[in-house]
Amino acid sequence: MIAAARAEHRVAVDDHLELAVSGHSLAAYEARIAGTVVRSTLPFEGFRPGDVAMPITLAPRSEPWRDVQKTQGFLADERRLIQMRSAGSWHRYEFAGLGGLSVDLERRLAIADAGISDLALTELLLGPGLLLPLAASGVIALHASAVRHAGRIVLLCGVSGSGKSSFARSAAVAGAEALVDDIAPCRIAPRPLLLPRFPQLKWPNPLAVADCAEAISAIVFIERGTTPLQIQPLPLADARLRLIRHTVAARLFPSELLAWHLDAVTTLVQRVPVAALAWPECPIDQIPAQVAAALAECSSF
Amino acid sequence: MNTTTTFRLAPQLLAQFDLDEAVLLDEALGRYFAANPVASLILCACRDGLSRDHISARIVRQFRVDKVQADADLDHFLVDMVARGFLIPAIGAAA
Repeated sequence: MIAAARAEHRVAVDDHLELAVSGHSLAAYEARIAGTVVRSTLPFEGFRPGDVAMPITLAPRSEPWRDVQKTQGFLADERRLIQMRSAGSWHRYEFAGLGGLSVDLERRLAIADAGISDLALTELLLGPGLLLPLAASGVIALHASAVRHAGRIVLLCGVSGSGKSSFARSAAVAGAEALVDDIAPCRIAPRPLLLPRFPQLKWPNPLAVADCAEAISAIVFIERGTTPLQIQPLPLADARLRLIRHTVAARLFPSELLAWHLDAVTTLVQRVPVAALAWPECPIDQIPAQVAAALAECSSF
Repeated sequence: MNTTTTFRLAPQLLAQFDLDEAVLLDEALGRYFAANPVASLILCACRDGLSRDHISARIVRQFRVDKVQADADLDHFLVDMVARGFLIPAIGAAA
């Protein structure tokens, strides 16, 4: 029984992906992220030198680039126009005023242009550079915090400023374990699992959590307001639309990932209860008690 | 409207019908749309190749509404969806 329980939490590392900067051809560093071995030409925080420096080989593009569409995204402290182009399994993203990222979804390889500042490079490669190849292997990333409380894994979503990070921090004080700060990778099939080991760039140690897979007990949207503390289940269709909006980098998904994304969020809301938690404004000294009460609500949901 | 007309979903439209209320994505616009249960039934039926008459019959049966009213609302909806570029009448059909 114990062995079986452990096996459920083990993450099978059956895949890898590569992150590189143009002009650098040896992936000398690696880390396990969301159940995947990630090799990199750059020593990002939490990465260690690999046993062997793996050469990155580029398969030539067999098709010319074709413009797909323009979108916008927030990267390196600015909302930027993003030009998207595709050529077979290759996808190219030009971030205005910053530089470009090329991603081969078939080979699971992301290459950032040379000359991008270190800070922006970290956001680019550990953001879309990771998330797009992960999506291609069935992992969606929700814009969410996640905590373990009373043996349950609860994902906390909310619009910017709703207080989900503050809630997660206060929850940790109340005895919950913070697993994810801002980006929550989830594998949907065969059952919804949180893969919490993902670079949480606001944390002092961005890869602090072990590479494991945890069954998701509930997804809760935190809504700041004046109504009393209460939790209400959300209708499935409403929950799905909210999760679509809270999927990180979904605007960058190429056509072949968009249909999968709609199916994935639909499956997620069918298998995991989703609720809205009204969280009223209160004086700072009352927040711990309020968070403890909210956690109790989440646990009973 | 020709009662035997069939429609298909526009190629830039992705749709997910597993819940009572469908969600649509217009890839060209990069925008998502939520469809209510009646709109979901109609769009799903269009995807399955049902004619306008068959769709109307399905609405009357499923939602227990008056056929005259159902026909009028269905025609209005189909014309609107065609105008928005979400539905394409079958070749040779007069919408």
